[in-house]
Amino acid sequence: MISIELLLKHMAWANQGIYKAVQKLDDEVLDYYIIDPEWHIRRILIHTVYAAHAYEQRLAGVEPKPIELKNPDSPEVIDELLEHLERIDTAALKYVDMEDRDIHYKIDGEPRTTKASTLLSQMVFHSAEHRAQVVAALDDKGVRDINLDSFAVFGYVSQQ
Amino acid sequence: MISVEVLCKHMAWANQEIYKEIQKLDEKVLDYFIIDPEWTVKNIMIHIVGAAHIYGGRLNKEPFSKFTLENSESSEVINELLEHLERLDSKFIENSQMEDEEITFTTSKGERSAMASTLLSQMIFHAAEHRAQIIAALDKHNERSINLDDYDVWSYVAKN
Repeated sequence: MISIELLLKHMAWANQGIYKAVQKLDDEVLDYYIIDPEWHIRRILIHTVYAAHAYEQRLAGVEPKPIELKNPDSPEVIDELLEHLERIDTAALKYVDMEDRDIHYKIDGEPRTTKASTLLSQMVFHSAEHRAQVVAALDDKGVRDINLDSFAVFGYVSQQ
Repeated sequence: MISVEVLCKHMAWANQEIYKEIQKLDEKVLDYFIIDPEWTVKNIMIHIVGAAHIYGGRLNKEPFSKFTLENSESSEVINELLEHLERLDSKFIENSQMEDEEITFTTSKGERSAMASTLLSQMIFHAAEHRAQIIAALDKHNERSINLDDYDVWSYVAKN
């Protein structure tokens, strides 16, 4: 079988690469959005990390404890998010070699069961999709500094 | 070990669903783009399938064959793309069960090699990223009928 390991390693690398690339841009880009003003770049960056944290907590079998950001409204939030991503993405790699199994957890007190493979797959997919949205919102405003092609799996493999 | 099987099955499902949703929209949406007029919705849709054709050929050690379409300039192209996707994505699901190995193939720049895991991971990532770009281009033109959240891994698992 082909392991999900490479996609998790790529995710960790692309998350760090793209968040750092956004950090180098003018602070105003964090307020850019495509159509829905609620979903500006800063919010997508935060949402991606919140979701990854929740998925990893479920895999770890611990009661989910939300991340509390010190600077959610300032550009400094990216430093915080980068630290969280490093922790979460590193932790996610621990689950690669496990046998697939049911993971039991609660959402708003309601019991849920999900396969570990579903959680890890959703984690990979969710971050890839939102990174593409972040770069699309930049492109839309004519900020072309980040080329998604540079953050493909081929890019990751060639740099290792 | 957690494999890429769920992600391959999700990719096959999401490709079919999103292409069929676009098919229901007015033909003019195929010409929408975010910033680069070369990367219209239609060109991205063709690009996803063309890349899958190349990656799939390499993974399955098939001789190089050029990806061609009969109706590339008309909206009929979506039917063709859907057929190609069904064929290609079915094979990727089978590929998720293979042992990882180094695969040698010929490109326009000469002989190259890549691990099967790299080719398959790139395929999954590439399609997810470009589907997000398609929806971003629709969103930009206020065509909001396709909600990406309906095509995530959770939704695939819930419906299958």
